[in-house]
Amino acid sequence: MARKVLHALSPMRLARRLWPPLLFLAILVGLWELAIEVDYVSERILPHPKDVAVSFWELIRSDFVWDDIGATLWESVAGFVLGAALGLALAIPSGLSPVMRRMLGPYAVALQVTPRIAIAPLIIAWAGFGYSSKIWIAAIIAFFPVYVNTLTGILTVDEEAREMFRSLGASRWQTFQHLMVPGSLPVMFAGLKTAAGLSLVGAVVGEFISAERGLGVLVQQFASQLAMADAFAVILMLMFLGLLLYGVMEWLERTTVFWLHDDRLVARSRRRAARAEKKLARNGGVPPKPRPTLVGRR
Amino acid sequence: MFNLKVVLALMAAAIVALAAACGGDDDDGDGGGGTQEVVYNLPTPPSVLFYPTLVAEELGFFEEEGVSPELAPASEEVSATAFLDNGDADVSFADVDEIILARSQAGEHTVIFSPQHTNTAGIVVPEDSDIQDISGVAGQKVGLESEESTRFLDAMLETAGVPQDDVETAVVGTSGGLIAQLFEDGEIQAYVGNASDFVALGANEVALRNITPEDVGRIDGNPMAVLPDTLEEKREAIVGFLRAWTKGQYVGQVNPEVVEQIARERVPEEWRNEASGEAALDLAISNMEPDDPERIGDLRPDVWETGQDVLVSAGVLEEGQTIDVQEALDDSLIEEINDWDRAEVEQRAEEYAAGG
Repeated sequence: MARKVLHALSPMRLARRLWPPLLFLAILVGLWELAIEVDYVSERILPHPKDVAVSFWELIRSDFVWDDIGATLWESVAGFVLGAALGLALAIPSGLSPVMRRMLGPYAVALQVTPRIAIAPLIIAWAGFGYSSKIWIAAIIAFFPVYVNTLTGILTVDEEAREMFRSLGASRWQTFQHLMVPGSLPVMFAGLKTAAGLSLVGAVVGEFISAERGLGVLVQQFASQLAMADAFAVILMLMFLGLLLYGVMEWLERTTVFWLHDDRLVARSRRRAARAEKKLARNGGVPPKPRPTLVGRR
Repeated sequence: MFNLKVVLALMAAAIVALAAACGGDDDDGDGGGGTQEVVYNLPTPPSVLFYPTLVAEELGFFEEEGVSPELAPASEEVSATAFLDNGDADVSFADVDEIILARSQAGEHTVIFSPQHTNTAGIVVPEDSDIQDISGVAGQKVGLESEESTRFLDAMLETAGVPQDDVETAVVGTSGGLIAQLFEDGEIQAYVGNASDFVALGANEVALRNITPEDVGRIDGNPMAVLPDTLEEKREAIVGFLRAWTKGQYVGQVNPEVVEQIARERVPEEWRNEASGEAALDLAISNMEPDDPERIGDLRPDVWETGQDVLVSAGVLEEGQTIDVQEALDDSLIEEINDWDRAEVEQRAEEYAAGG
């Protein structure tokens, strides 16, 4: 394990991995600086990258900004969990039952095509001014990608595999657990990754309308006070929060849908082989009894 | 691979737990520790612009009145009177026009306190602009802070006899940098917004001139409304809240340095740009200068009559929908709210400044 980590962190390997995004960042910052130097954009609107970096450093060292980061993170995560749970809870019955699909489908689509920013003030008026209204806005925005991706995943399970499960006499629950769930996980995780980013958008939209704390509040305050470098620094923080949420979902996906990632699959196979060897050694070389088959467990 | 039943059960538990947690922010009104909670709505998060609450919290005025205040902030997109209607706030610092319109639609919103005897909204042009007064905006493009500002602009145009169709408008928001740039590029020739935005621009070398018509400029900014049932139910707590507020407001008038000290501590984000912070503090203190220091927050029926006339002439309010201003205003609490020892408050502020 330690050897693998050291290998991954070797300077050459790091440099090979990092130079393309760093080069792009350098080009972007260069163009940004040039745009200000030639007065293409006013400094009042777009501050120097250096000033943004200084503001970012000063803000993260201040005490007050962490309360705002905490507020936005809580609203986003809670909204994401609520939206994703609702999306899954409605997508699964919709995937299993055509009647449920016909019943819920039109409303899920209607919710998606309704501009959520337009109903955000109403949600705040209904749910109150505390965290709950922001969580609901984030949840409503996060709901659809999870719902539609999970439903798609369930509906697009390989027909031949389904037929094989049927011929082996698998129950509906067994088919759901061993075929539909693993089959839909990759698409479902794509929806969860999208939803994680969108929940942050929902939280910030809610904060723009009514909030005591949060990074959305800070962006507005700094922008109206002409503290543009600070406003950009907070936007940078929002970007890092979004990356954090995305990264967590990416890690969960690699851990859960391991069969889609060769390295994870190999690592898992090795662990299993090592465990089997240990078990064999404990049993004095006698292989353990085979696990019951799908049919045998009915 | 994993126990799906456990995962599904956890998912269901997560939905129930979160939905329960998000069920609403209502509570029983008990602030804990023997204090009574007062939920108040303001158009901003904690800010030096509404310094009396910051001062009252810091100097312990709320505590000695047995009140536990809770702020319910909302931007212009949410009607301040809606916070009262749906029970999300006990008292709301709304706009004069919002309250008049709410009452004209059978609302029972009553104004019992008005801390700012000047309009916090207005219209500005660049210092070197040819536009000298509101009539000069005919044929020009005006930037608006929000869609809600349209009503205010229409009212001002009406006072000058300028047809609304003669003016082009665009919602440009409140970003100081953007407004300055739009003026510089000639994209807008005037801007309707809040005085706090104007002073932030002014403090950052964007010279502006206020052309708000005088009678509109006199209309109170953010008077406090309450519903009669709430007032009856929580009279003592609301009076306590306002007494603590007036003490905080008074500190700003006699010892602005203490307010600055408190604001720097409580809302450091507003001091990231020093010039903007100082300008906002000066504005807040001047906006809250009372006509009579012994009757802070007093009501001015003549100003409300003007406000209503402006709304009628702008077509925002129909002739038959006008309200009885005397019925909407209730100054019976002003004396009680102001019944406290000025010298004691001054001493408390001095002690705080000295590090006590």
